[in-house]
Amino acid sequence: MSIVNLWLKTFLDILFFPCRSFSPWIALIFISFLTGLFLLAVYKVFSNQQKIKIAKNRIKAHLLELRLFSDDLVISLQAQGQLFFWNLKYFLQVLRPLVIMVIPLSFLLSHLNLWFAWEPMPPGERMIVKIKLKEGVNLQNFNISLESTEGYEVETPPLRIEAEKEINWRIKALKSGKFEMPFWFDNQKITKEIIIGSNSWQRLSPVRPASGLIRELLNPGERPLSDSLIEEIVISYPSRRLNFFGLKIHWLIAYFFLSIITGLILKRPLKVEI
Amino acid sequence: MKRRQFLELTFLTSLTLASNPPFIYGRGKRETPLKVLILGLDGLDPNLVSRFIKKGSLPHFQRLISQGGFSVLGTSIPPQSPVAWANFITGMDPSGHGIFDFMHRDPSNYLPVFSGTLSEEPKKKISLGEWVLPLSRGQIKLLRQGKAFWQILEEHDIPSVISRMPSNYPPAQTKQRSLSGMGTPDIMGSYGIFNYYTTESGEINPDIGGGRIHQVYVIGHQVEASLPGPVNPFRRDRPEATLDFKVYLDPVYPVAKIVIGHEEFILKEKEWSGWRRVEFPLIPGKSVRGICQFYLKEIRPHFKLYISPVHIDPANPVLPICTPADYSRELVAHLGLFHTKGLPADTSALDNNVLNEAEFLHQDNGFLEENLAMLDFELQRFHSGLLFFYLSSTDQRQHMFWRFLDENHPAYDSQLARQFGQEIENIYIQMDQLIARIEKYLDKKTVLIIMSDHGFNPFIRGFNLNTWLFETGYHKLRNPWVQDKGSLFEYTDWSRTKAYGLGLNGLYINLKGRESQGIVNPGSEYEHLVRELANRLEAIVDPLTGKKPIYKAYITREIYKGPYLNQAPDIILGFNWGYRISWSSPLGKFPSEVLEFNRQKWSGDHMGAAELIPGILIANRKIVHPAPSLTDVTATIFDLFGLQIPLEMKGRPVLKIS
Ligand SMILES: [Zn+2]
Repeated sequence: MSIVNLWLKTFLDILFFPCRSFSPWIALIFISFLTGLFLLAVYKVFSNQQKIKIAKNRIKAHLLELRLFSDDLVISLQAQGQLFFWNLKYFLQVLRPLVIMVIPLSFLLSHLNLWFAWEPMPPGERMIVKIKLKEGVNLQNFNISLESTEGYEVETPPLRIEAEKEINWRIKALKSGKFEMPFWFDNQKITKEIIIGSNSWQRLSPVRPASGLIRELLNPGERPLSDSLIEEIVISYPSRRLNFFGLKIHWLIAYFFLSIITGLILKRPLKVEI
Repeated sequence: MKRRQFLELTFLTSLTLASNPPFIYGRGKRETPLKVLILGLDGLDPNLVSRFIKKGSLPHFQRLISQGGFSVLGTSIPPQSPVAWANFITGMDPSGHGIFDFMHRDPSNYLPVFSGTLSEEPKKKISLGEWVLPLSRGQIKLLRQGKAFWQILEEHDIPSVISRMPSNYPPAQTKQRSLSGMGTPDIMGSYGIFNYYTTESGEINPDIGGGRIHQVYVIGHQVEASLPGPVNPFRRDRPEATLDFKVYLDPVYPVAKIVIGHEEFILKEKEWSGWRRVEFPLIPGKSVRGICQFYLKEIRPHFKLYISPVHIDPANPVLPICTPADYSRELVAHLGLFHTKGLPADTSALDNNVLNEAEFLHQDNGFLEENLAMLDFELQRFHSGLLFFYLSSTDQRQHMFWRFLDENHPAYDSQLARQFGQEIENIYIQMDQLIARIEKYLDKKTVLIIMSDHGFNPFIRGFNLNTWLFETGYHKLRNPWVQDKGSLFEYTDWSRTKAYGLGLNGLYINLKGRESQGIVNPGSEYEHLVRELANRLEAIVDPLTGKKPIYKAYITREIYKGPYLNQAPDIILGFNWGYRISWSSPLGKFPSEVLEFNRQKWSGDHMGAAELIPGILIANRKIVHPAPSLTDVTATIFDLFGLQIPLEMKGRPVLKIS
């Protein structure tokens, strides 16, 4: 899992490097274009193009039949039955490439989320840092501290919330940049990445998780924690919305539309039947 | 019960159903040879300015006055802020703009109504089970009559920005930028209701004005409570919308996390949260948004949390607070969230010991800072026309801290006086620093006017007008043995009552044909009664001080002639120095004493005779008029822009232009 994450992270870092100083829209359009292209390729390779074509033609034919013989009850019932049958066949043909796409796509989405879903905290602002402990850990005996660094100041003592199995701190961002937050417990140091900046667009990792398949898939920004008591460390970055002519939209919506548009435009020149 | 609470009773708006002013652009564009910058400093008192200048505390005031001019400024009758600022806005007296008091009365039922704004529920509704759906829009109407001076400037294409003008909610229709001020309600539709959550049962008091106190319990280091919101007009039983929240306390350290709606933040003991957004759900898809501040007063031994009144969110205003409709959003984009409720300082919280003096000042200083940042922002783009900016802190501090100026004040406290005895002087010094702060924006073509609506005097003795009317036989109760019970004239026998007191300065005759159960005949019976009452009121002597509580009883028909005279009280009381209407009389109550000491922290006021508490006029130009008044400043604006003074306006220009 870590290898895949590292590979994808590096890939996107390189891919987005030239876009860093522009609006996130540029990068989003770029990656949506690549995604559309990639989806078409997967589709072409993993589907039976011939069978899809046949199924689509049959659907069209039966639709025509239905319209022409709409006053003949027997023919239209037969046509409806055929229509249902070929729709099912079409769906089964499409299913295979879809299933194959899901795996790389979900990896990609969780990585893109790091880039587009949050904004770094501007200097002067305050946010909450949370450590979530695993079930069964006694909060009172769990001695952990968070240190201030030049990038941020820890403003509160640890706030221990038994009901949520959480320890919270409030920090104040001081200086733009990428910093390591050192947590100390039992003479052991664990760290969490934090990024402070105003109006900048970069990859953020709000969560450093404990190791585990799903946890790592969902939070691919940092290497998983090896310690067994902590479930995750979370920074409450403000969420990012893309500005679309004054409308604030979530990046996923823009991403899906742009990818689909790419697919629809390129399917003919690339001769893909969808 | 306080003034505020009684306002709440009568001022329920149908939130969310009000219509916003239309979205129009295109304000005045003319390049004017002179620019006019007016700072409205509510309640700035000429005597105190002189005193502090002599002391050397106000060097910038002193310099400005030596270069330009200084004068007392005749205030309105009565000298209440909504009345006085309406005089300035329209250039007319109250009979021209129709605002005679904070509160008017409905002659059909003798109940108080808010004088500045009328809110109407949608006329067409349908009921679906327990839901009620409006089919038409509700309305919020500004009751102030007459054109505002900036509407006339707009007709001449002169740009203006009017920020936080009192008596202008909802803001008068204009394409120019304006933000409403005093009179703007909180999200409950009231003048401001704070919420206070405490585990200390001794603090529980169900009957306080301007706030609600909730008993809470700490269970497992958690507090669960709910924040009341506006009445839900979509429900047949019209419950209050509420927002539940949780507070998590650390078992040892004085720190807590508050989770409310989408907000989650950590406060240490004695910390303020700054503005936080809250959203009250009404029906699926419809909610009301507001902003409020949290103050974690204490964690242990008792848990005490203060939540400020919920202000209308300027980024998503649920009621019309500005023109054009997106002006407040523009300000938020540049300045962050800011207060929107008129008179934001929480005087009720201080009066009820929910906030102490230091906490009150901390909060009000924050509001002042928001205003100063907004003023800076507008000054940076002030290139032509007029900019008016209003500040309420001068007024509110004097109301709450006057008790420390005088050892004989019934609410004087020597220990607190040592700590806060300088606060009134401090706010004057802050205004002095404001002059220095705006100096860099003043070029040769900028005329600077600093004005106040009235001065100040101590509030030592309260006069129970209704008790006096009862004792002298002008007001009859159905069962006199319950004299000090009930409110809003619950026990009044209208068939035998000739007069009643309502509002802060008003006395009304129970006039046949006007009041629903009037008994006094119009004509000579009425004239005689008014004259008799005015004479008797002016003759009252306070046995304790030997002073006359009422300096002048103005007969409104003699001093006013305008078209809205029929809405006026018949007599307006002008109190003597140190006197004011009592806390109970405006509520239609009859306490046993006619005169009583005021022991509240609200210890300074301005309901006296206009002659006793004039406002102030300071300008960077010479003042040529010997005794200017508020309406003269309005006339001056037109004169400075070379415009004809509108006929309905009474004033004369007071500044030398060259
Ligand atoms: Zn006042």
